[in-house]
Amino acid sequence: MVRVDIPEEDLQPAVLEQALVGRVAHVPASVALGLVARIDLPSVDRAALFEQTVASAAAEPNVRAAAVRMLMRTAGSAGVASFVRMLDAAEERIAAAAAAALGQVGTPDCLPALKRERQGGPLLQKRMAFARTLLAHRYGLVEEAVSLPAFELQAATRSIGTRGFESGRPGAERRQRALQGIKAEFPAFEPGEQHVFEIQCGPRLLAVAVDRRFTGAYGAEALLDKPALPAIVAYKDLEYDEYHPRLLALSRPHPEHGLEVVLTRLSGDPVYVARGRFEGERGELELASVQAPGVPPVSASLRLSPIEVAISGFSEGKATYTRSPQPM
Amino acid sequence: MPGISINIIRVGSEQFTPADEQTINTAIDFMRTTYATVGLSLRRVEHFAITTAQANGRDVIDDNGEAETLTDEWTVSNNAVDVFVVKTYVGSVAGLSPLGGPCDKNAKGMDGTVVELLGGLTGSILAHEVGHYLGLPHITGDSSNLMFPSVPNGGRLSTAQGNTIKSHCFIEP
Repeated sequence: MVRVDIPEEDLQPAVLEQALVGRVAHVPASVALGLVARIDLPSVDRAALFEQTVASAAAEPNVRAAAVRMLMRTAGSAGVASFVRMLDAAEERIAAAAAAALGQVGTPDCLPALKRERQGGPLLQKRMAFARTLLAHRYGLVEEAVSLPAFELQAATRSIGTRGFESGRPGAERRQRALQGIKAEFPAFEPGEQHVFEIQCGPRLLAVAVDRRFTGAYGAEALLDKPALPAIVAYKDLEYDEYHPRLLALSRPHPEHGLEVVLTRLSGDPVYVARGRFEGERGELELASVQAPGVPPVSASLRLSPIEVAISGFSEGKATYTRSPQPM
Repeated sequence: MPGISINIIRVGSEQFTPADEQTINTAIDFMRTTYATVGLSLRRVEHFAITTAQANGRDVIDDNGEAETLTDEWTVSNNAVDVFVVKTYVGSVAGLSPLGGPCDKNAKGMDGTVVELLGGLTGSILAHEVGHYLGLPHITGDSSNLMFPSVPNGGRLSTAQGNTIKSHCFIEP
């Protein structure tokens, strides 16, 4: 990892405001986005500055789309009205980023806006569909149609190079960092309501934050009754003690298997699927990975008790499905 | 002279302007010159494209996790380092790579480098991240070294660093 070092004299609102629209050669707009969110800037309304960047025709479309996500992190649910407006942005990337933000911080009141027919390419349609799905799971909306991309599972076999894993409890500091990382992306996330488990699988350390409301007898009943978001998985950064949420556990009752949990990326792409049954307050689920580029075959068992989610299994060492960019 | 090959993969390829192409070429030249100082040649440079539609929103990298996912999802099947060039990597981070990246690019974990296109800094970022992939850690005490954790830096490599790179499995004799 390498960082861009910005001279101290440029860390002031007037410079950063110009940098966001690409008018300061030595302060890239992408860096300015991070600085506005992170550093102490007294008397600056960060949310207003991000909103201004989204609206600015002078800023690069990519920067405007990134500003939508920074607005979501800064304003949280206070930005919902702006995100609804941004769904009509002429630039598809901006509208798609707004749809994703509504999925993460919006409320069921946003569903009509996310259902309205809109001009736009597949990225916008995909983000809108996943935002509706995410809202249905965050709020347990039984009547809301859930739409996830179709998937097929892949079987994992033990061979040379497979890696076993077993969940454990992290220390207080790692627990706190993982919860902070998730909270940054999901402002409504309640760190005090989570059990946290961690899994070391090869080079990756994963923190699984399980919402306490979905554990125990009452939790099992809730999971078998309606869609839910019972867990979020964060990966530890390769280099720093930071965590980024990477997988959302979307659960729903399943007529054949009892319960199905689809773990998706934040973009809505399914990565793992767990299926199984509850007996009283205890549940047992079997997890497998989806046939998707870069996702190695995984086989795992999840045993759920009132105070524990025990996850153990193995992962093959390499991905079976790959995707190649086009030669130029 | 031993050498290394790289794949330059433009993410959101139709967004790249002629000026961006010039920046990429200048960055490759910088890397070639820098690595030559420790007896390493830059051999094949192959060029690839991922369109904006194919990128599925990952043409804008919002955090390091997303950069990892990008390298997981796409792979060029050859014996060269995959370098994913993006126009926007939000925040002060401008590039990401595993330390001592794998030669089996389908292996679990991050298996390519991500580099933000940042004008005159792009060469330093490219050479730095490929350096990580080839096994070089950060050098925190010397801002003249390419592997100093931030850019701009002096862009130099030591003989010892050159020797470390030469032991990577991607090095061609």
